[in-house]
Amino acid sequence: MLDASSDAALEISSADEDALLLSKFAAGDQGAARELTDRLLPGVLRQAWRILGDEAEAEDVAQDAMLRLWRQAGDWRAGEARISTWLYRVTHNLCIDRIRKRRPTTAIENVAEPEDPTPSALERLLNSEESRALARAILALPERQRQAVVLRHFEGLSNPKIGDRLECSVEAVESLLARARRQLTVDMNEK
Amino acid sequence: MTDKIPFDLDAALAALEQDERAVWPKVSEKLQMRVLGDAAEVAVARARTTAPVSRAPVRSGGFHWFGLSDVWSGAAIAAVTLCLFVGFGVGYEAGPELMAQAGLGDTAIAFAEDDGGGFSPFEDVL
Repeated sequence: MLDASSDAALEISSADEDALLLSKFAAGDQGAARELTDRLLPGVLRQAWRILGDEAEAEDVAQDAMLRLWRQAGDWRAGEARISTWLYRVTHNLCIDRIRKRRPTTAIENVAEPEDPTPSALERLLNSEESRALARAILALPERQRQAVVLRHFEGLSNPKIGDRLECSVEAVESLLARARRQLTVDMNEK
Repeated sequence: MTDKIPFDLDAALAALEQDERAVWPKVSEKLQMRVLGDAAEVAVARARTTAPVSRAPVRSGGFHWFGLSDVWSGAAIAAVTLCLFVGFGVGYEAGPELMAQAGLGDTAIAFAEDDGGGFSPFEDVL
């Protein structure tokens, strides 16, 4: 079993590898693009799918996010940010843009969170009532708590890596997760 | 009376995660091709903008006649100038006779009466 330090070391080496592949792509290596696609695209697609609840739209967003990465390759400064973190943020923003475009009559300033009123793809596909209820409860969490829960329990990221993605400290991540868990427990006990 | 079983959040999250894995969208071959196609396009565009400037030798300044080198341009210009001088010289001597043959007799006579022949554009004016 991996301890926390070896887990963190693996994450760092993975980030370095992404940066190395991106620099190879910038130098004209198409094999590096293929490898980066294999490493990053599944996560990007899942993230978009969770937020948008539509596979076709999620594919469009994933393609767009990857395109932005290719365009960024020449200017990427290794060591300043992790590619996975950057990509997570880009994907999230692209999803929010999509959701806002779905509701053209709503003023932008009134759109607080990117939740879609329609049931999520996951919710529609789940068989067990408990899983559906839990998925609904997760969707109802405040944005940051929801992201922390998804990254921890569905993407399997460690707290430092979640902090990296959400641009906050490990303590803040722990606090977000604790509040989210409390809220989920309350919601599920009420059902 | 039955006690309600406390909700086990970790177990429920684990079950949900398992459920989700079963329905995760897979990266289709079509999507992968679209993404790699974009990567190829971006790489081509970048190669165009960062292509090295041509290293073809730069010609020195000056006049290059019909693309000839400096030496040959100079030689050609000198040859043409010489031909023009010779041509004008011959024309000066044989001018009146040639003009008479061409039906310009009056002008030729005016030349002949002047200073022994030769062409001057101001002949008639004077």
